[in-house]
Amino acid sequence: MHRCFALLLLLLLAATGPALADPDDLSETEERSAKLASMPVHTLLSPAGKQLATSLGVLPQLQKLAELREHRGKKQGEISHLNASLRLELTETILTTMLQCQQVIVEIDSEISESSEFIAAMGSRRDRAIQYNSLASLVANGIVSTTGNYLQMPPNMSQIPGDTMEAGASMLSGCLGAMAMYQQNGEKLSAGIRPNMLAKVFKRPNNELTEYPDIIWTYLNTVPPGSNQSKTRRELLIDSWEKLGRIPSPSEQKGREYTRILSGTIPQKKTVTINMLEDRSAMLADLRAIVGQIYKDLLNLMLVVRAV
Amino acid sequence: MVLFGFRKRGAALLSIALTLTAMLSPATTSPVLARAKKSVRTADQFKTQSGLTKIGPLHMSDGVVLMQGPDVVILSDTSDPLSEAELAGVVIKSSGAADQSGQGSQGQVFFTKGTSLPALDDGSQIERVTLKDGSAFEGRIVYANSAVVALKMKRGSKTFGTENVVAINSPRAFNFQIGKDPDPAANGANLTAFIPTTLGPASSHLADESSQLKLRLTKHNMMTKGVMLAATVAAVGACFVIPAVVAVKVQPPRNSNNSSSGGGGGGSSGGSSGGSSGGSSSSSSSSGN
Repeated sequence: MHRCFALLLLLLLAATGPALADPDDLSETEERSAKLASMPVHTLLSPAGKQLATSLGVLPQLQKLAELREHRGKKQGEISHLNASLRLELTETILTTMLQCQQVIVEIDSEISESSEFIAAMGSRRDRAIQYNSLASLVANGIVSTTGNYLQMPPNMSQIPGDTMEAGASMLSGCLGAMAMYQQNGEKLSAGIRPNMLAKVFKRPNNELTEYPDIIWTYLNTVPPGSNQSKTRRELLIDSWEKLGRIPSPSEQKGREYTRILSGTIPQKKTVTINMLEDRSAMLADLRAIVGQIYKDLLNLMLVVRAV
Repeated sequence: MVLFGFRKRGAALLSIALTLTAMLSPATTSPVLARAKKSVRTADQFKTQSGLTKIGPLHMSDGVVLMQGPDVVILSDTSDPLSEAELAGVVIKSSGAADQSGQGSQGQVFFTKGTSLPALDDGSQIERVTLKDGSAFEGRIVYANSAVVALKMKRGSKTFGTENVVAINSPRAFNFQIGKDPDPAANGANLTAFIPTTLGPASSHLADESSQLKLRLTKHNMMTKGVMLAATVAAVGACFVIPAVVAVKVQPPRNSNNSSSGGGGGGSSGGSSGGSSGGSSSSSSSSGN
């Protein structure tokens, strides 16, 4: 009984423990707000939040808001108007950045969805081709070969036609096997130029639809705080793709060409394959995840605005 | 009619010869090329590097325009030492060079190659060359440099000296203007603005690529299906027909019992035909052996 109670208590602690202990948990509570309100502004922002605030140019407004908080008790009437205007300005900036972030995510999502659609269509065609191939193998191995064997049986004893038939069946099976290996990779389609959101990441020409808002582009081209390397988020993303084998090294000609194919900045002559589309889709998902990180920093900013 | 054909062929040959002359022997003393050399000297003033934000439908926020003599090269990434030229072409005409660096200059550039050239031009649009006398010719420009422009038309081709050309309307031709002041957006470099001269929409062929791909994927090619089905039926059919033919042509060896009984029958019946029975028995014995 005591052991059960202890186990239950342990489970309860394990369930609630990390939520209380995690410093990155941004869930807002009254206690947290009160705690934040008593701290100076620069300590309230996370390193990434501070970086984003600097990029957005809102640090002076936040400082001003903090100063107003310090003098709140003295000139209540005069400060409140300025306070409201500063809060409105900050909220507008944060909201606009959120929408810009959403705009990028929506475009990436639509490209991922389009890639998935093509992968599904090409995959189903490949499956159908393999199905036909299996059927043909069945005919070659099953019917022709069996008939050949039947002809060689003692009562019918026709050695030469039977052998010929078996040879034909073996040849057919060989051809069908080779064909199946070719079909396994799916079709190779051609397409024209249509840059996607990866184009600018690889510093290739993009178009109006795939343009990044300045703040998002700046975010991608800054070194994440706390990073040991001097590489930007964009460079780290490319490095990770290279390490995972999604792209050959961009310093090689093959890698440069493949990045152009992936980003859709050159005419694609029989290069649209299921593998390429899967790579593109996975890379777009990675990019989406990085862009989505801005929300975390924006929430940090918004919490600070609310706290001060 | 024959004479007309000869004349047409002659005009075409003359145009080709002119183009080749312009391409291969720039030192020729023809007035066109002499003036072309002059225009090259003007273009020499553009030993400059400037930024750009976009050109036609292409956005290149980190792009750089390099101008050296009449040659123009656009790179999308200068930080990459192996960067390939996105666009490369020639300055057809230029004017108003403010200083040696080319700042404030303007003119017209015609792109002839580069990895991104297909994004500007899919080869289907009509290009127009307008001359000083007001005449305009439409077709496709097959060659252009700072001296001459060769146009291939429906009826033959023509070569024009650039000093006679007022305007070129093409998805590959852009009017450019190099900014006078450094632009913070281009990391302090002067921005070059490129104004399209195309007659049709600039990027109509870029937008519908996805739908074309969809069409290719959803299209049911009956011809291919028919050929594949016929090939399969033919292969399987061959597997049956060839052995059947072989079976007919190569008769199976006769049973020895049947042949001996046949021989015996021949022998018993043939008192009168002894010669033939003897022959059959010898054949049966040979087959027996």
